[in-house]
This record gives sequence, C-alpha cells and structure tokens, in this order.
Amino acid sequence: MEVIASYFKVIFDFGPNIVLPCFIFLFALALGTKPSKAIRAAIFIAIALIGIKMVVAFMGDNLGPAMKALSKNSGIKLDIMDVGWGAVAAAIWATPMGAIGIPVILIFNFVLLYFRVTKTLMVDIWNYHHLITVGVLTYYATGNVYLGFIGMLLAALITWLLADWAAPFLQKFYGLPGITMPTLSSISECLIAAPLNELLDRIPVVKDIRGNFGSVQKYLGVFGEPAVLAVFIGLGIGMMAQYSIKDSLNLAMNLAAVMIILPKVVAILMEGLMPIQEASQVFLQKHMSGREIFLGLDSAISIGHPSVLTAALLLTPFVLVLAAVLPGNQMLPFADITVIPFRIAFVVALVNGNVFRTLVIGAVVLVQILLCGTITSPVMTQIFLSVGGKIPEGAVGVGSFSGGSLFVTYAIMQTLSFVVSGIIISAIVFGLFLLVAKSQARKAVALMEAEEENTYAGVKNSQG
Amino acid sequence: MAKRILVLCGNGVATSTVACKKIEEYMEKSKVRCEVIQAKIGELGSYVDKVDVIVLMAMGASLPDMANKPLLIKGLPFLTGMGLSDILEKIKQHIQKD
Repeated sequence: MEVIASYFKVIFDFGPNIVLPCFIFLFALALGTKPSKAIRAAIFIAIALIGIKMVVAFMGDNLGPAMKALSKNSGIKLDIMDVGWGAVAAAIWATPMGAIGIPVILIFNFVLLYFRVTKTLMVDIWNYHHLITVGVLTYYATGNVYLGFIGMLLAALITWLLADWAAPFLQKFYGLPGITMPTLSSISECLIAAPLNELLDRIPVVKDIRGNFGSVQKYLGVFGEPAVLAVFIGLGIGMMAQYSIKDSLNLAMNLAAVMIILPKVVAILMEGLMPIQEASQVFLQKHMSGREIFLGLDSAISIGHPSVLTAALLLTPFVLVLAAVLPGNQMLPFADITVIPFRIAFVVALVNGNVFRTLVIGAVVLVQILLCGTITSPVMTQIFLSVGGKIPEGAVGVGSFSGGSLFVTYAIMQTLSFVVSGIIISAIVFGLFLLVAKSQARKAVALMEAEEENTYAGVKNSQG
Repeated sequence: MAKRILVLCGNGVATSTVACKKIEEYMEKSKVRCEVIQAKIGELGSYVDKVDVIVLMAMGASLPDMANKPLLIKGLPFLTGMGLSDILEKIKQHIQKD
C-alpha cells in the first residue's frame, strides 16, 4: 500500500499535463501506433487538459459571483457549479488512476468475455472515463487504492451486464443489430427507469397515455441550440441575482461562449485519444472474432430519435426550475444541461418512444441526478482541486450530470465507503430493478413487435 | 467553393470527432478540398440547405426536408470500421461531382 501510495505521489508531482500525455504516448506505442502519430496524440491530450481548465476557470469567474449574488438577492442557494461531464472526464483522466484505467478495463473486458460472463465488447475506449471515474471517486472517498480499483471493475461489470440486458430492446428500437451501448451515463438510468415503467404499466388510465408532443420541436427547438439556451440561462440567473442589465447581458454572452467552446476543447481530448481508441478496437476485435458478441458503442449514436429530442427539450426548462425548488439540491445546472438526451435515450427505447412516460421517468431521473450530484460533490471537488482546478469565489464545489451524479457511480462509491444511507438506497434500487428487469426487457421488445405487426396490417389494408 | 460536409452527433464531441478526423484524413490523402463541420443534432436547423453531405452519427433521427438534397450517410461504419472505405469513397465521389 505504502509503495503504491508513494508511487502515485511521485507521478503526481510532474503534474497531470505531463503524466497523462507520457502515458498515452507509451500506451499508443505499445499498441503499435506509429511514433509520429503517438507524439501528436500525446500533445493533443495535454492541450485538451489545459484548454478545458482555461474554459472552466473562465466559467467560474463568471458563474461564481453570479451564484453568490443569486443566493444573497433571491435566496436561491445553488453553490455547486455544474462544470460539465467533459471537465469531469478531463479531471479523471488527469489522475494517475485515469491513465492506468484504460489497460486494466481492457484486460478485464477480455477476461469476462473469455469466461462468457458478458457478451459486451466495449470498443468505445472514450467512455471508459465513466468507469474510471467510479474508481477515482471511490479512491478519494476511502483513501484506499485497492477499493478504488474494485470500484472501477465493479462499475465495468455492472455496465456490461446492463448492456447485455438492454441489448435486445436497444437493437430493435434503434435498428442496430449486433450492437449495444455500454455507456454508463445512459445505461445507469435504466436502474430507475425499469421499476418506474413497471409501476406505470400497472396504473389504470395512466398506462394508456402516450401524449401528443408533435409541436414541441417547432416551439421549443431553440432549447436544442446550446448557444441560445446559454444566453437564456445567463439572463435568467442575472435577473434573479438582481444584476444590472449590462452585467446580465455580459454574463449571458460569457456563458454562451463557455457553452460553445467547452465541447470544442473536450473534442480535442477525443482527438488525442483516437489512436488509442483505433488500436484498441483493432486489437479487441481481432482477438474476439468468431464469438457471439455485442459490439459496445457510444450511446451518442442513439441521440437522434425524435422522442429523445422532444422529451429533452421539455425537461431542459424543467431541470432549471427543479434545481431551484428541490430540497437538498445545491447544484446549479449549466454546462451539462445539454446532456439530458443522453440520460433519457435508453428510457425512450424501454418505453418504445412513449414521450409521456419518458417525461415522467426523466423527471425522476433528474431529481436523482441533482441529489446524487450534490451528495458526491465534496469528493468530486477534491479530485478537481488535486489536478489543478480552482473553485471560484461564491461556489463551494463542483459537480455535473456525470460522475457521482450517475446512480451506479453513486451506489458503488457510497457502498464501498460504507455510507449507510447510500447502501440502503442502493440495495432498494438494485433490488427493485432485478425484480422487474427480465419482464421489462421482454415487454419492451414485445411492444415493438406488436407495433410492427400493426403497421404491417395497416399497410396491407390500405393496399387492399 | 469547397463543398461542405456536416457531421452530426448527440453532443458534437466524441463520435463526431472520430468521423470528422477520418473524413479529413481521407480527403487530404485524395487531394479533395472540402470543409468538414462538426455539430450536435439540435443545431441541424442552422445548417439546412447549406451543406452538401450530412453524416449522421445519431441513428433514428428524423431530418427536415432539404431543398438542396444533400447526400445522407449513416455514420455507424466510422465506429465499427466495417464498410468504412466504401462510405468514404461515396462521400468523395459526391463532393467531386460538378
């Protein structure tokens, strides 16, 4: 233990902007990437880490004082800054565990596939960060490296088993044979969605509501444009914080800048990881050919469905109001307000595109995200500070809709650090999920098949 | 004027970066000039009729009617690698036309 701890410390001393690029360079070489390409990838990783830090600092400079004024002038005490999943991912990659996590999870996936524990082959290296986050959060919460790694592997195992479970209805709903999406930020919410959907199935009248939301896209489409959305949020915060018109407008424009620039710098991180992603994919697919596997891709491929976008547009203003009135919440949603589609994409498939049910379940999911995000924020903040991040004046910490806000992450981290309330809540949710999981997955597929049959009959009728 | 290729994904970050880089590399190698734009699916409205090719990384999306009839490509091969060279060639031939 001591040895590992001191090893971590020595690595830490170089700073994350050096350590992660070096590791990525070596790892890329080991996977057979050309040195010129590996060097470029490594430098891009450093650029992304620096860039994300710059944008988040700018966000803090603007949002921090606004949060303070908001609390003083309107009594809304939201002092945890939502820095967004990208900033969380960058902070996680920047910890020593972040770099080591890639090969560890890769090998673990290999072993589980070999012993047929799972069918999911997660070639989407990019989203390993969600799994590594669980490890790093557990490590920081317990101070125990081993528990950290156990948390990471547990997260991977749960994610892949959930991906196996969800594969049939995801494949059918999105028309993607042979594919599943082991993206924790989307699949985690199935734990809550499945029991809730079972409940909705059993309530008379309610169970038949589908809802007609056809015009939502036309009238609320503006909430899908992040720049415009950020300006609205900025003006809203400014007004409630009793800023002058000049200050409100400036806050709004600065936040719009953050909303557009932040994803661009996070994309640089992706660019840096691409050689690793490509090489790992070739490696994994070569060694696993001939087996029945589900190719595990990024859940981003499921975000296009109209029901996903419609429900997300309605939930966006909802979460802003919710954040202000929800007892126990301290997080001010901002950077991650654009990832709501990712949190509900699998819910939409589970309920076969029913927007009404997606809204009901999505609302509960958002309550859970805000509360878990608030609870896990102190640990997240500690990680954020350790990799050179700064907490702006007026805020007490950072959070996001990712990291500890995801239920699986929260559950593992709280359980491994023996937080009794967390263990009880996790046991209840996992228990309810296991109770209904099989029938829910079967029902989802049956619903889609019935609909196909009807459409087919309809076509035949209109022809006849 | 260089032809414009719009790559759309859920967040304009991860999967679309993969597709953008692969298209840029391929076009550079083939010495074809083009502009590759990366965006998230909600931003599509701002690009209607302004792009020649749309690469869709998000499955099941419903697209609005577009008067200029851009070439629509389902981007899954960018992630799985299967059939990738075919669609890259298809994009190339489309933007080389006229």
